Amino acid sequence: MSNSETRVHFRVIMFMFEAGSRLHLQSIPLATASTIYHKFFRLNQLQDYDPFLIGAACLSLACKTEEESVRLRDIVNVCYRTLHKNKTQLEIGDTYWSLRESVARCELYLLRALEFKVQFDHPHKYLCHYLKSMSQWMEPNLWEDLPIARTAWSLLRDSYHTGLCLDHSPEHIAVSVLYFALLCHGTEMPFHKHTRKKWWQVFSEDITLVIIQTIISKIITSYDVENELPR
Amino acid sequence: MDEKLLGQALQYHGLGLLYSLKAEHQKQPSASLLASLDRKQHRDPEIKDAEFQKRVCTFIGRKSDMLFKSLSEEEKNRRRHDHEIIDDGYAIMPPLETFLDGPSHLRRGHFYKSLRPNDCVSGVVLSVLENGLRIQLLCVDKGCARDIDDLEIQAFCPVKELPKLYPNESALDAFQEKDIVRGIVLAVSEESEKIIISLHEKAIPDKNIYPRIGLITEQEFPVHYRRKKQIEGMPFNEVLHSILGFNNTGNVKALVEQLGIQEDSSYMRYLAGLHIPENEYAEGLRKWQSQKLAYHSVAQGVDMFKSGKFLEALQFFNRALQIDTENVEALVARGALYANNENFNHAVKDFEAALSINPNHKNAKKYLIETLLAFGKTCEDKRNHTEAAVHYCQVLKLDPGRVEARDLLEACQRLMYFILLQDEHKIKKEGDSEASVLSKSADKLRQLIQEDKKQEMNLQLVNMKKKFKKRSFLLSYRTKKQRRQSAGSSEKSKRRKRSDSSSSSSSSEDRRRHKKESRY
Repeated sequence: MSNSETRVHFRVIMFMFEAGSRLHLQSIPLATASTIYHKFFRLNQLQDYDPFLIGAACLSLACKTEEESVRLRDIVNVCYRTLHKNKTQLEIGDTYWSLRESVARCELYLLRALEFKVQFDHPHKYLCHYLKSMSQWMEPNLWEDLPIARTAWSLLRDSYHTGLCLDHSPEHIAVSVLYFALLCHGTEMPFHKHTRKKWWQVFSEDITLVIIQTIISKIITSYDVENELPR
Repeated sequence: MDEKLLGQALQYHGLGLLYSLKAEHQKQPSASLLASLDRKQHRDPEIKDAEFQKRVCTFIGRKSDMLFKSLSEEEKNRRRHDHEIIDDGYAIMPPLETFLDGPSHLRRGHFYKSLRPNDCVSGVVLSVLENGLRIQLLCVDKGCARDIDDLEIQAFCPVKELPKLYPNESALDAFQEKDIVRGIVLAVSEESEKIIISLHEKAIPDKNIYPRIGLITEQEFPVHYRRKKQIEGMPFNEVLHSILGFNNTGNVKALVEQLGIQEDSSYMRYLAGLHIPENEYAEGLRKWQSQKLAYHSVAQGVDMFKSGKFLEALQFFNRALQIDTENVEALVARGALYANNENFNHAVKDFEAALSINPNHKNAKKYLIETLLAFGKTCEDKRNHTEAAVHYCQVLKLDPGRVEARDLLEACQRLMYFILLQDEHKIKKEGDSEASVLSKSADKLRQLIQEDKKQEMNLQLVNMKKKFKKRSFLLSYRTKKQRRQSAGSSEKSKRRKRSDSSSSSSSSEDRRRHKKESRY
């Protein structure tokens, strides 16, 4: 994928995240929406579609898949507002009705394009369970002051700005994010060097350090993209 | 930035991180941070790639303000606060220790470091001594879940911490070797490897969260201990997928709360700096949109009103109020419409509703006063002076300086007084003729008695007629047999000629005829 295309997709995901927070969306529906978006543009060319319309349709579809009831009216209002902050807000009129119809039609088109496979296994629940186990194994005094959980969760959420979710299994992503969080804070698991099995081997049998390194590099790259975007 | 957290990272990564921090923040790090750098031990990184390490250091440097922001008080409290464990709320796993398989002497020290007072532990009684019980700990109920079966960690429960079941018996008699007990940790000493626990109820800090302590059974062991016993060498992933709580769709939410994570935290700069005004969330946008639509409808309604189409105007106003129930303009316009059509009650209600939403609406107030005055006048026309007076009072409450209202009110009150006097006169007159009233009442009584007698006679007549009717009915009613006999002779020949299907229909006709007769 060329550089400019990556940047376009990054911008659209930024738009989706902002629209998501206006709609009070939780992390998992947002993750589903991002995954649908990336999957769609792996299969189709960017120049044939309006990526922001696809983004809005992804949000609508994800809310339905994850059973978070969000009205289409709200999605249209919020997406319009996020994109056109300088114009007046959208009133009920011809523009509204045509936008609404576009989003509804696009949703159906997305479903057909993805062959109705829009259910995904996300790394979030794996990460949460790993964090819980880890919190019991670490010394309580250390655990209470270290923001490992916050870092890992933030890194995982931010990783949806790229198509990482499509290339690796959810367990691998969860373990890599946790590894990266520990690395950032300069901590290790207790007796890391002395246990017979490494903790990341325990959580995922088939993961290797190479995979962890690959995933972490991709995550760092996505933050670099944000830096390079003109303000 | 929390210096302690930053210091820890520096200690780990060393000079590479220091350089990237300098490049990012263009200021010299404090002396304490440099000191932590000196403490750096030689570390063999797991991922040997130098390029990778450099990238990581650059990343940490760039995001250092967000990474090393100390946890807020709220987040810390949520982690420290013991949560009630709801079974299957999420997958409660056996301790990680079981899967890691580390050296026991290190695990021992780690356990003593991790155990804290007010933790809840379970174990088996090793021996009953004079001064208390010696217990071997098996697992931790509340606190850090650990695998300590094989470590042979012992705790001691002094006699005074045992519950006294019977006043005359010694508390020690209630316990034997191999009993399973659960208690609260009172004190831990790492150096001497001593743990003091209590089995008494008074040691429980919070009855809602802590389980029952004292003598327990094997079924009451915590979930993670029982699971540990069952897994028999299964890898972590397999165990995780086999537990029901892993598929609970609410488990992420529950765990995020327990771990004290803020759901929408992110390390992207644009998200961290995202400020959405209060009224630009989805609900705010929708409300603004509804209001605009309602105003549009009101404008259309006013047009209708001006061209005399009152029914259509009312429909537009009602529609506006359906979309936005608190639209002041719609309420005022509808009130004006009602007042125009002399429907004063509704008009007043609408104006008052408008004023309750926006007390400073000039038109609403003006129209309300006009309407109340007109209302009062029509009440007076109908000679309902009390109600008229009420309305004039209301006008004066809204606008105390209204001369017209005061004049009307005074006139009304004078009229009321006059009528009251007249009424009193009438009552007096009626009072004088009290004697005649008595004779009148006697006459009345006589009339009533006569009427009663007449009614009784009528009733009797009616009853007799009814009885007569019944008898006649009974007379006319014949038994089934008699009827069949009379009917059968004429029908038999007919039936033989007809086919089977029609005979059934004829018998049903017969039945229908029978039903009709019985009604009379």
